[in-house]
Amino acid sequence: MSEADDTPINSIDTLKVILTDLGIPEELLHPETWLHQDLQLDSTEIVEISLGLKRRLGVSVKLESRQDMTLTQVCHQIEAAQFAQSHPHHGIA
Amino acid sequence: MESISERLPKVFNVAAYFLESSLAAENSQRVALFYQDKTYTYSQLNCFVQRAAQVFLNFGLEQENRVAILLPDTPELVFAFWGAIWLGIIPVPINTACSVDEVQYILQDSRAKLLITTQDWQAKLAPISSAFLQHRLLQDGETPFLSLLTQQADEAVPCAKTLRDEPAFWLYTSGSTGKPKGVIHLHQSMVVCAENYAKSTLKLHREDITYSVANMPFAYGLGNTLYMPMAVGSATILSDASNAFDIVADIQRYKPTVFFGIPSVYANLLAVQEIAPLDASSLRLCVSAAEQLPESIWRQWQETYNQEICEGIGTTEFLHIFLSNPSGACKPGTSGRPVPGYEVQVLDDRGHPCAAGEIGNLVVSGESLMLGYWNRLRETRQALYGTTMRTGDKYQFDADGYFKFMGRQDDLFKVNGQWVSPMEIEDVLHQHPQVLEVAIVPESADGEQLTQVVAYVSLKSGQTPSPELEVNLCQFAKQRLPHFKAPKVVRFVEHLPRTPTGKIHRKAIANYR
Repeated sequence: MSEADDTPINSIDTLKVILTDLGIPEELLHPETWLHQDLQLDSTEIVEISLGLKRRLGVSVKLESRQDMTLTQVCHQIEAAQFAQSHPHHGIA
Repeated sequence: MESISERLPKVFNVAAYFLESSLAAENSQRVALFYQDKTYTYSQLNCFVQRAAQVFLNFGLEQENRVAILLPDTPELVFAFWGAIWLGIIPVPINTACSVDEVQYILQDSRAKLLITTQDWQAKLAPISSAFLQHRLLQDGETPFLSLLTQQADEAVPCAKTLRDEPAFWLYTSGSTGKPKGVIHLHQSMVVCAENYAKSTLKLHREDITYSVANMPFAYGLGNTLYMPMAVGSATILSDASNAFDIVADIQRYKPTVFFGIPSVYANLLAVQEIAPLDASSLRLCVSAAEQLPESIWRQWQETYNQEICEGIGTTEFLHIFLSNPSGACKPGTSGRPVPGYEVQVLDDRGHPCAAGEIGNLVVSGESLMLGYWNRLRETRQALYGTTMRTGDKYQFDADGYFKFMGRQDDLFKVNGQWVSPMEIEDVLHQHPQVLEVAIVPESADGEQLTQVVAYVSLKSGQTPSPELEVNLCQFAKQRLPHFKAPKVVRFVEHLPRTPTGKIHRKAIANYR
């Protein structure tokens, strides 16, 4: 999947802002940081991240979390959601 | 009228009772468990329980030994739980959300001889401090518990001739001292709850599929997922969902008919409805328990999904729900009316019944009451008299007989359905170099919102309150506590009010608001 023109440069920064707003110290936030294993985020905080992404970026990202995710993996989901929203006929839900 | 437990034979094994009755009802080929891509029929469930019992015998376990089961909601937990009870062995399910210290304490306190867990948990617990533990079984790894069960021959294992009023299983509940307490339940207890609540109140039937967000090591989850569906021969979903998105996906996938939630989950499902819309069309009944459900959430759920939420309240000590809103006659903001089989009273401090509208102490009588707390004589004696328990909750009831939660007698409160002790949070914030004194109080806008943790803080001489310091204090707590216990709000005050004996005066702090 080509992400070239649709990849926002600010998804990781937005994610970091949301996480620091949740009370996570910025120095803990790196691309390979795991949401659950490293940050111990709980179910309500995962929902808060998703609501923050909707509010700040206008994207709907369902952060199903049976498997732990790194910040980079969340960014991939954000970018995929942005791509799907800007290409509604592309067939990616 | 003869009680439910008196109608049971004196010699009675609850594992045999539920398994045999579910098979006898021509149910054997019906689905008992949904788990990921697999299903287990009642016949298969029965086989695996027998095999689990065989494995326990092979380990040399004997009646009244304890088996600790530290697993997520999986078929293995179900097989081990019933397999143990079948032999008169005591299963002790442990919540995987417990801290390592809590699990170590429970292993030591329960004197479990066998632990069934996962590789991850085994690594976290190493070395296990309990000198009583002799054997370990793992759900995953080279020799998973399930493969061990599959290797067993299909031989019927005679069930132990236990008594209806002897201990069958324990559940651990958090206590005000921070040490979990082992709540001892009898063989008859699950039958009582299934008859009083599942059948009489919820009208659960064999066509239902139940889905519970509370896991089985919680008393609420144990009933919702384990024994209430079995009592009517219906199916249940074993889920590893960990947030609202997972729950939406599960409901879409399995189409449950009865949803057992908790207030924070209903709030989260409503919050994400634009991002992940819930298909609630399969649900005939939504239930909430574990903490007070704000009326605003009840109404929003009703407007969004055209479904009532039947709120109720129970305790680990009574095993399940004893106050419940009846379907079709819910009164939002209340815990409902007494479930059949329970006598629920509001008493004043002298033990006299309160009139409608007066706030008093909630005391409950019923047949599912625990035998007591394991090795906690003082706490048991304080809590119980006869078949009655002082719950520690403050309640009032209205002219229609609906009971409303008005607070606690002690300082404990609930967040995300779990008990929180203010002292634990205060101890952490006291370690902050700028904090002089701190008091933690729950705030819920008189029950209109979910409870949030608020810290009232006075600072050391020369320190100045600031928004940055508020953020810093919240982060400080979050790094040292489970996140749901960390304060959401910090309010700076000059001094904290104190009682004449020098204790923090929490009721006076409540008046600050």
